[in-house]
Amino acid sequence: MIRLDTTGPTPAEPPLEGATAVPHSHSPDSDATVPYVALDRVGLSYDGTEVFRGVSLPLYRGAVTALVGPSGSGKSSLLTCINRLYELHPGARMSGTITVGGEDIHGAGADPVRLRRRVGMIFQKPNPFPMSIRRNLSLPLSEHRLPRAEWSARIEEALTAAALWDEVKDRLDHPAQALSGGQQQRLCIARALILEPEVLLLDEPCSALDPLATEAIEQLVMGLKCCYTMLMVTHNLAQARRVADQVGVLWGQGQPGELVEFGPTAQLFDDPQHPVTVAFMQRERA
Amino acid sequence: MSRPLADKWFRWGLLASAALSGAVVVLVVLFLLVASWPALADLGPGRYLTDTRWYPSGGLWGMSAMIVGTLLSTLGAVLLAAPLGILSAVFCHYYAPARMATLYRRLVELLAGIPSVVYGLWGLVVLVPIIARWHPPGTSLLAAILVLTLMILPTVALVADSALGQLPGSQVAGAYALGLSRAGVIWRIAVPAARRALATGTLLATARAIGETMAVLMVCGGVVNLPTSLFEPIRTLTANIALEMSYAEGLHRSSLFVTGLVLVLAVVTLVTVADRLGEEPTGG
Repeated sequence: MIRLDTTGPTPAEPPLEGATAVPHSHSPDSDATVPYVALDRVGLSYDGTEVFRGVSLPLYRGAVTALVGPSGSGKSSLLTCINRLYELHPGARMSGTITVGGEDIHGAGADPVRLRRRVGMIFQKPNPFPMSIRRNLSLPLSEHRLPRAEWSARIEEALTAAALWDEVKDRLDHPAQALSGGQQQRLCIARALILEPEVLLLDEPCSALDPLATEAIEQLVMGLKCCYTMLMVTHNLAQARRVADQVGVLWGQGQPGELVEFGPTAQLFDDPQHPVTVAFMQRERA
Repeated sequence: MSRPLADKWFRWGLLASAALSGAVVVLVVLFLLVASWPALADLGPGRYLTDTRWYPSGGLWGMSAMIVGTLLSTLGAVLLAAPLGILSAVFCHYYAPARMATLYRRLVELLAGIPSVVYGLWGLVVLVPIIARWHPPGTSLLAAILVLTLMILPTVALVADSALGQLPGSQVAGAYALGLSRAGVIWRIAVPAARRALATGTLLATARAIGETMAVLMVCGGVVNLPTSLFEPIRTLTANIALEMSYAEGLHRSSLFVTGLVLVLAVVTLVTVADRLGEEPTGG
């Protein structure tokens, strides 16, 4: 089932749990000092132009890591390395290594489809498919050949986990695109959760939303924190401070982005070390 | 000229052009009705539909064989062209390298621009002899279907291509991010999202196939015949008008206009259905 904080809404236990659940390579109590996702000197280029380089970053289970920095520093591109979505761009080349749950994502036998099932992604703009709410959620289930008998339980569970169930339970067959922006984004979160991933990548998930919807998504992210490894790109420093446990600053104006500073949220905000970070924080505050 | 005045003139100009275009369509239909009225009043609509024999000088006015000929040749062409056109658009969008896709699009556009008489000539000189060797006489329902398929294929392919292109990149990325395969993205998202446009394109191609005259006339054989096999010659409604209009007089001439009226009705029905399909909101 979809794992949730006890403070968050608790989904109903599905009847056939276990037999068909996604095999997780970790236990919920795995060692918190070992990063679940590790980036080691990762770089990316599009058609020979470097976007960022040399990024090493540990992401821990049960923690939200925020990635901040100016536009164009390659934050969103960095997310697409972790689920190998960058490969959709024919001219993209990644360097360095990324491991998810100890497995090299480019290692022998690694497969993007299996990887993306373990690493969910939420995009800047809500991107529900032009079909019903139910179909948006059952589509990944049918693609990954999960037994049809489980679908409705999983759909309810995912929508509950995304705090959307009560709002849409009576209109699951209505078009998803008729929902409000905030609801659409929660639907997209539900759609990612329904595959029971281990990692969630959030690419400025609130940038297209109003303050109320933003708050709802932030609450949701905090509630999901316990059970997932999350990396969130954000432009909003205040949001990073509210939501994240650790923060990385990716900097690269006119040059390939580099991770100039990385550390626990409080330390990074109260006592930034790198002059670039200091300047960035000051400018954003002003 | 002051702004509001220019605006006013522009408005009237547009209104006049729109009214003129609309009036032309209405006048054509009115003319068809008036011209076919003597035959409809004298013989009654039943005479045209119940008999399969068309022999104007002998007083036989049956159009049903030609209606069936038109329907079968159109249906056959649509059944071949629709999947072919949609599959080729899918290939172009999701599999072909960018350069090949561009080249392919240009070729399809070119295919759409070739005059129908050229297709007919090719059908008559190349296709018909091949079919004749297989199963004489060669000029046949099959030849009509194949030539029509070639002619409407670009319509289906171009509409399908633009329909598939409407799917926002963010949704494509979202689908891949959920671990969908390329085939999954195509058949589970892109094609269902484009289904209305694909249906509209197919209906427009159908309308074109019904109305096509010259190419079909050249390869169908022109014999009024209720076909029992693909190899038998047929005559379509359009061919009927083209073949006989030069010498028809009186009731015969009026009957040809009835043929035209039937064609217009068929096309209007198709276009109306296509419009309805296009109008409905996406999603659901």
